[in-house]
Amino acid sequence: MAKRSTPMEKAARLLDLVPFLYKNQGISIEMLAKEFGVDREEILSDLNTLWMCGETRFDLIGLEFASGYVYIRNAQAINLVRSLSTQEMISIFFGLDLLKDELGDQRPDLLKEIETLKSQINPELSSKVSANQAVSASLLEEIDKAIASRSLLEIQYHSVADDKYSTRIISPIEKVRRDGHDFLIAFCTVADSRRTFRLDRISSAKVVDLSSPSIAAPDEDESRISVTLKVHANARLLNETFDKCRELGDDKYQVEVFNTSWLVREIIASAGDFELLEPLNLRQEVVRQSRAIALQYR
Amino acid sequence: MSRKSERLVNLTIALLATSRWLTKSEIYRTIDGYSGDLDAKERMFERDKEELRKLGIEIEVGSFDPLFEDEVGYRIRPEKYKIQVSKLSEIQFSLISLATQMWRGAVLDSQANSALLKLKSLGIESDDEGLSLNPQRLDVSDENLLHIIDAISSKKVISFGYLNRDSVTQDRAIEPLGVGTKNGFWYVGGRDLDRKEIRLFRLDRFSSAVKDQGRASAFETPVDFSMSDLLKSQAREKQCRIKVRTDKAHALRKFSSLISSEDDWDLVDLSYASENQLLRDLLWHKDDVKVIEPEELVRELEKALERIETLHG
Repeated sequence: MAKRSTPMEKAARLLDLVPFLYKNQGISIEMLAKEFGVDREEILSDLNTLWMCGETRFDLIGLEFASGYVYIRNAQAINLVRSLSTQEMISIFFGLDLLKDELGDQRPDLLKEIETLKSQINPELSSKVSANQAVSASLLEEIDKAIASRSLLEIQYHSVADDKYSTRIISPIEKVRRDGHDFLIAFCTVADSRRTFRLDRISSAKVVDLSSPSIAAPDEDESRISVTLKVHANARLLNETFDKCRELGDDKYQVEVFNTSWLVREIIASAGDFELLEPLNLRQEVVRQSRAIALQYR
Repeated sequence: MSRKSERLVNLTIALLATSRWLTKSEIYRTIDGYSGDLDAKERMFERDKEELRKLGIEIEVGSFDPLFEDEVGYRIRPEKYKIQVSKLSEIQFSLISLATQMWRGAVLDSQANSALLKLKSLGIESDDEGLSLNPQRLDVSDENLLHIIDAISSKKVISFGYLNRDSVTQDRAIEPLGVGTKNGFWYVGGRDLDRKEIRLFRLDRFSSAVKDQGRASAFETPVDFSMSDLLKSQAREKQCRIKVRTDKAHALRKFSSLISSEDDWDLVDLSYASENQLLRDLLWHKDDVKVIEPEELVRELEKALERIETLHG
């Protein structure tokens, strides 16, 4: 919390304190500090500064807080709730958009309320902002439930490398966020080791009890292998596709992957932008699979 | 340090409380904190006005006697100063309260909190209606976002370094129009001053701090601008016909409509936005997809496969 405010931030807070205190006469200093998101020292400094303010030198704002509870008087001129700043409005619009996503079709009445709110607050500004959820709230809820109760989760997962949906039983450990995506780290009961699942590839999740049978063995190879690639174009895509990219110079990169079939797909998909240099067997695999595709058209 | 905030608050009180225009000399005389020679006071006052403007407080300038072009006066109109949304229902307040929770820990956290505080100061009670939603976090700590939001609202041109496809930084300048998220990525929409058209920029591809260029109100937002439309405009307006192996290519099936099925294959019409991305997507699915139409696409695919084979040959 305690980040020292700039004079401007402080001035904004002082102005907002007045109408808030008028509405909440007798609020404790602790509660006041909490509401304003600052520590006790800062709010006391605020109250002391506010105490020195007023219409003239002889007509100061009346503040009483020695008792630990705050009372205000004689500040009617600024007993007005200040208009929302652009940043404040935008923060609300983003949040409302995400809420809309969560509510989905379940509460059309609330969806309507949200639209009304946006146009009440600032219709022009609301058209400049748009947010949407990457992962459904009900899915997150189920996952959170499983983590909290240490239960097993049955998930339908789109395995990108093999391009198929598979059902797995996992023991979720924690959610993490990396590079703009959410992941679930879990213990895969059949593979008997930790796996990482991208949340937006889980199409469904259900808490199951221990007596449920385990289903589907994953096909992934768990050990990482190191490959060397050469970039002929689109280096940005390389950095965004592969996690651990080490530049070797001369447009060559070393990359570590878990899943070689996924790697071969990405190389082929790059249509010649990426060249797999080593290991040789994978390089040959690229040729073999490209030929198989080309054969379809002969 | 608190002297400046004190002075700003006193200035605001004076300008709000006055029933007529206040001149500079009156302000210097009655408000504590304006010290030094006249030049110093003038500079201080100019800076203060700018600070208040940044806080969203509009200071009106007027004069007493239009005939004499007398000394100008200043005031703040209470109607302009105060919040416009005074009539919020309890349920609306709860919605906003939930909305602000999305920012916990992220870059607009304190703004979301201060927005909520202002609404609380209106004395509206919250009505949860059992709205126990699972608020997701808007996870962004990028300071550029704040800067961009300010530029959008003050209508200032911004410049920044942006990574092109080859991961090389290029200098870009835009008239920023909107911000948003899609699929977990943050985007800025704006009119590119070089390419002269509206484009999307991904925030994580910005390679430098955003800088303001020039004055406020430098451009107008197109009347029909909508950030959500712009984000959707990765719109899949073109079509191709392909065969897809049964139970495969799920990522493509999402954007396909089924024409017929036989044996191991489904014939579908696939919608797509860009040829480049389409080629990538088709190649990725290897021999689980086969392009039927158009001819040009088949040729593009074959050329790409030749390139790959030659490289790896």
